[in-house]
Amino acid sequence: MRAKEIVFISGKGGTGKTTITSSFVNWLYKNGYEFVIADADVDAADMHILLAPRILKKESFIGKSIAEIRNDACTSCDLCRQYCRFEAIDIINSEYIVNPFRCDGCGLCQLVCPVDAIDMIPQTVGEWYVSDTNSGKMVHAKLYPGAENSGNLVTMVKHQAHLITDENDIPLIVVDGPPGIGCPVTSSLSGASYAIIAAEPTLSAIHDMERAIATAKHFNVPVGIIINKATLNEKNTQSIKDYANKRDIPVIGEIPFSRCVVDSLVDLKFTTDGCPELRDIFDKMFKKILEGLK
Amino acid sequence: MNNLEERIINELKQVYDPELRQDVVSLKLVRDLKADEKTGEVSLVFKPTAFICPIGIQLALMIKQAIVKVEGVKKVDMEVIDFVYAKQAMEYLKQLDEKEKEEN
Repeated sequence: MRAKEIVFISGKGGTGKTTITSSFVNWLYKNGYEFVIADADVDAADMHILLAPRILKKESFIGKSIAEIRNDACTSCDLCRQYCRFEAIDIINSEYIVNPFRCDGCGLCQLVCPVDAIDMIPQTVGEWYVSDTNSGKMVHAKLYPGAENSGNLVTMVKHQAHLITDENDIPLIVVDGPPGIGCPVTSSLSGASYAIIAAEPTLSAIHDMERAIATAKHFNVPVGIIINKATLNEKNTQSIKDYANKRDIPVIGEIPFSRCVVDSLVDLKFTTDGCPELRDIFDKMFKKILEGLK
Repeated sequence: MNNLEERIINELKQVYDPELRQDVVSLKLVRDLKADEKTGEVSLVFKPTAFICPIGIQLALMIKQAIVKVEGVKKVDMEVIDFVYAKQAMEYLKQLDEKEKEEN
């Protein structure tokens, strides 16, 4: 049976996705649940800082291809430069050179080249890993700075997580999603069973939360909201609750702003361990997430 | 693994998932492959990388077409699982059988 996926997203970055995800992971482990962790925030992965994974497998990730011109075969007909809509081909010292930062890898230059002087060279744009952590297996990745194809790398991370759950009959994948609503987020939501929105009571977070919810709903993924740092601005916290009530979206819980959360993270501790005063809140909240999954 | 299964796997190593740029064997998208060398009957399960895989149908057809090309293969029974368009993919695979029958 296909493992269910709980995906934590937020819209705005810095609302506490990874903090909540890692706390959830720690809580699941301590309560005897079996699961696989997937860090889908491949542009800026940080779950590994807290989970301290021991890497078992490391693979390169191949992204789009970039054009390369063989100048010994090139007749300087200039067609490639004229057709390239990304203005990626320059003439430097009478030689045709592809600017890899501009090339979109569409391959049009290769098609129009009358002497087959252009090759499309696949690029290694990142790495993905299967690791062991004290809480269970984890699949994570690193996209190289400035590299594209983050959505595909998220697909790879989730695919590898599913291979582990399939082989070991594990029923659940916990996905730490990326911020925003772009390709890596849609990839994170693809096939998800439940999306948890980590919201905070700020105007920008509320705005982005609405966009994240709309994205999840577009893919028919059920949504729940956790209001993080809820006591920072009670009026905005109420706005989030009103928004949720109007749309029948469950507010799974509210985490008050607490210094112990910051202290725990600084000490590389899970907040579930480092914040005894929040233990009951986490307990209720995480039970509710699992109930929502049913 | 018998000889026919080995040859099928080798053929499938040429079928690439264009999104992840890896072949369907190394991605473990093909499971439970069984091939009977006497009857030429092949069965397998295909599971795309993602539940909402945008190229799942395309890949299913590519996999079946690659297997059919292998010498000694007479019939391919392919199941598509964990895919939003699994039913449609199975329909297309069936149509591929019918097309082949017509051509023969």
